[in-house]
Amino acid sequence: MNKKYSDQELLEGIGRNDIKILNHIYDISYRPIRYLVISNNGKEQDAEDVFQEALVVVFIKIREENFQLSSSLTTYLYSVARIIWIRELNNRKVRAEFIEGEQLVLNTTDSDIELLEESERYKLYREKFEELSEDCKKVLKMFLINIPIKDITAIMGYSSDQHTKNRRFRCKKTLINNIRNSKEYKKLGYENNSNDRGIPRW
Amino acid sequence: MKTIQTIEEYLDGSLNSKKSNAFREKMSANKQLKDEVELHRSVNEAIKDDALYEFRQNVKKVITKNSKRANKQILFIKTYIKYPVAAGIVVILGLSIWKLTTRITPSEVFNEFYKPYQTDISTRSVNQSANSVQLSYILYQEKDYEASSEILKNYLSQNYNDITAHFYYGMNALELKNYKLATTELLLVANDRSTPFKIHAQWYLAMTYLKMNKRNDAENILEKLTESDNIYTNAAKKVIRKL
Repeated sequence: MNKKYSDQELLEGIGRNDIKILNHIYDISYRPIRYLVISNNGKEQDAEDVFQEALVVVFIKIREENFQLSSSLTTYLYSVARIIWIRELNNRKVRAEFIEGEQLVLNTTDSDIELLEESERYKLYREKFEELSEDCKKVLKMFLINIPIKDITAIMGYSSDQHTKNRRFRCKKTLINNIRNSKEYKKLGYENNSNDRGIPRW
Repeated sequence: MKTIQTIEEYLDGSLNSKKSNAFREKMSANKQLKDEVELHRSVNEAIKDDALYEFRQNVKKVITKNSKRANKQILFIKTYIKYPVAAGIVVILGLSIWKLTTRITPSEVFNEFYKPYQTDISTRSVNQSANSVQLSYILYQEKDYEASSEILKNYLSQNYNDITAHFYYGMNALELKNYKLATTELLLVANDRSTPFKIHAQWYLAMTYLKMNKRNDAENILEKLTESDNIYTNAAKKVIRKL
């Protein structure tokens, strides 16, 4: 018999990235989300992605504010999942049965939608970062956590600080280009920005 | 490259104050530049956010593990169940012959005729409570009776007049073997004249009585079901014959 957790315990578990709690949440919350997605033009993989994104929204909320549930965690996750799936269907230009005539926001707030958008952006940025070469990743990361340039040059075995700097900017340029050229970036709503064709000049 | 360099140096604070101010002025006059700086800032935040990245990785692991487990179960059923199924058929045939020669108990009749209610779920809803109660119906359909029941219990404490919710609460109670609660809830629905769930509630109330070994109570309701033309008429006749 699985241990029963209160919603507060589940939220705390999400906050500390506890895999046991995440497994439990999967057990209690995945099936309704799967049902929602699969009965509205989705596949198993879609359901898994939606479940993941809904949990990420909760994780960000817990971290960024004093998050209080107004319903059970399962209900809240279901509501967030619903918004995620509606947005995805809109992107795919599919109209689901359950969208028609219905308020899009149920149990969720504007801040949830903002978090969702932020989460989608961060996911893309991070994925593209992970695709860079190991050297690029190291250099960019070290700069961002404020390691002195001299130390970075020494760690990476580069010939000079200027070389390290140049490497940093080249890596960042590659990363930004890879982000801009991805289809996910266009899906995030940037494709209609006519100015958004490269680095701006001024 | 120069542009990226300036943006990065602006963001990490390594531009001197004069250059930094000049850059800010350019940004306020140039939306495209402002957006570009925002993109760089946001990308930097994402790179720094290891906690979120690890969280995603962990959720992915959980999903993969559970999805593999589900696939293994299906594979196991496909691979290893063939021969036991053949043996099972022989056993069932034997048991059927034995049953035909033995008097059947109400509980056995229940086992033969009971099927969970096939709900016609509409995911349409208009407010938060409705959303929550819809979820409970889905959970019932998905056989997560405990979760469904918990939601309905909370919902009914504020929406006592929702007969449909009482029906599902009763159906969950039946699945969870809380026959007393199932009887109370289904009786309430069965006695309501306006609900479309009336007939279903009568049938499942009869099923509950069978499970509780209350043969006469079950028969009384089943008799009523045979008096009108409904989806349970034939089944009710069959059950009465068995009893």
